[in-house]
Amino acid sequence: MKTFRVLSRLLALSLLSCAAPVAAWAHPDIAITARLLFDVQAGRLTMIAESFAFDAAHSRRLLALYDANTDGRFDETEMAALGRSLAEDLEPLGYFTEMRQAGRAVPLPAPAAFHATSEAGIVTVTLGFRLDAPLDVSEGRSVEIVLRDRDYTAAFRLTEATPVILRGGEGACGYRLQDRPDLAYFGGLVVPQAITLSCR
Amino acid sequence: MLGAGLVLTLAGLVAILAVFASSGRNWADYPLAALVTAERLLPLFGLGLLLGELRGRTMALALPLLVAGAVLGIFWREVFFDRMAAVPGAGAHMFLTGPLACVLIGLPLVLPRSIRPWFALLLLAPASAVLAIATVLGDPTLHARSYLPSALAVQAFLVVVTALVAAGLDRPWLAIGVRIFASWLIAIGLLYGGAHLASKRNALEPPPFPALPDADGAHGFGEVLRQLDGGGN
Repeated sequence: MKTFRVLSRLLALSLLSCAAPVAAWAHPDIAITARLLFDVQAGRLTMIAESFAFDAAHSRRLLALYDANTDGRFDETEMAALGRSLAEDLEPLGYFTEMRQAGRAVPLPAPAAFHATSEAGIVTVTLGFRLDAPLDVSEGRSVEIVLRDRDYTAAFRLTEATPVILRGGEGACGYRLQDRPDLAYFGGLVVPQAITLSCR
Repeated sequence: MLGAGLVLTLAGLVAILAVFASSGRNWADYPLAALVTAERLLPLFGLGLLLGELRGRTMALALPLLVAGAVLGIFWREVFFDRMAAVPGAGAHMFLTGPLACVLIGLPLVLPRSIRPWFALLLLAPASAVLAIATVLGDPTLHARSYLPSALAVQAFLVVVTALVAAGLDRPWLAIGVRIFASWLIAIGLLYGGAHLASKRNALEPPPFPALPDADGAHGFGEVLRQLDGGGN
């Protein structure tokens, strides 16, 4: 009976401790600064590359998981493992990249190139995609890209310094950044930024 | 059943500790660490107690309802986000999934045994749905494929163990204890929910955004362009 009373008090104490509201787990958990590269050849978008820099905490997790020799950098083997894992995890999510042309969704193929670096505790990964069928981006046929994670586990922000690189199509092609409240997600609480690529 | 529950508990604890010890990582970086919060563990414990008290046909109906609730919750979570976003501050607190789960599971548990099964069947699917949505939102990884199955499996394990122990300990004092716990569960759900609603932290605040390195004279794209131009990876 005495044991039962002690156990009851312990249970009551643990329940009381649960009643003290504590800070909930952060959401979003991950911050990603992004930069995009469009490769335009003869008025056609042939390749896209995306550079994602992860916040310090997620970078630490990635290093703990993939930097096997703990030298703070990714060698070829470690990079291959990270690239394979990221590609497999993000494939069902379209690599967080929603591309549209004339209202039609254009899914990205599997990445054809991958690179990862770690500098000052920040891990940056770069994925390169070679489009299966180059997209005609001539006048009136602009392409729009939105980077977003619909569960908002990761928050995206385009880097302020040179957010988009155009390779080829110099002079004829340009891009525009635009907030898209009509594409707000996560209960309408997050407004994404769209990148529109168009050429003359 | 009590013996099976205790053996499962011990085996589970050993397995979790072994995985954690072999990972060599900080506890906060462990993907399932997000489960170890009061508003996530208490409803699971309550759900186990509830299942442990159900018998026969009610139990046979409860299990598919739980699974259906979880599946629907995961697939239609954006509809839930849209509805809950209207509640001030809900978005910053995982759309109040933890407090909702506490209340949805506490309600049938606090009722007398004669009417408990009916309310349980009514509320099991929504409770399971909010627990599943909480699991998705609690993902600290970048959508690692292993996260959702392992998180759901660990939660199912906790519920089964609690249910087996509760079913094995079919004593009058347990019935009283369960109702006391249920009233606590509801109170804690309301307390957490109220605290979240009254919280000044209502904005969705990501961690600080890092600066993108501008290395290699090609804004960091040099190596990837070399691979793309070379035709290989």
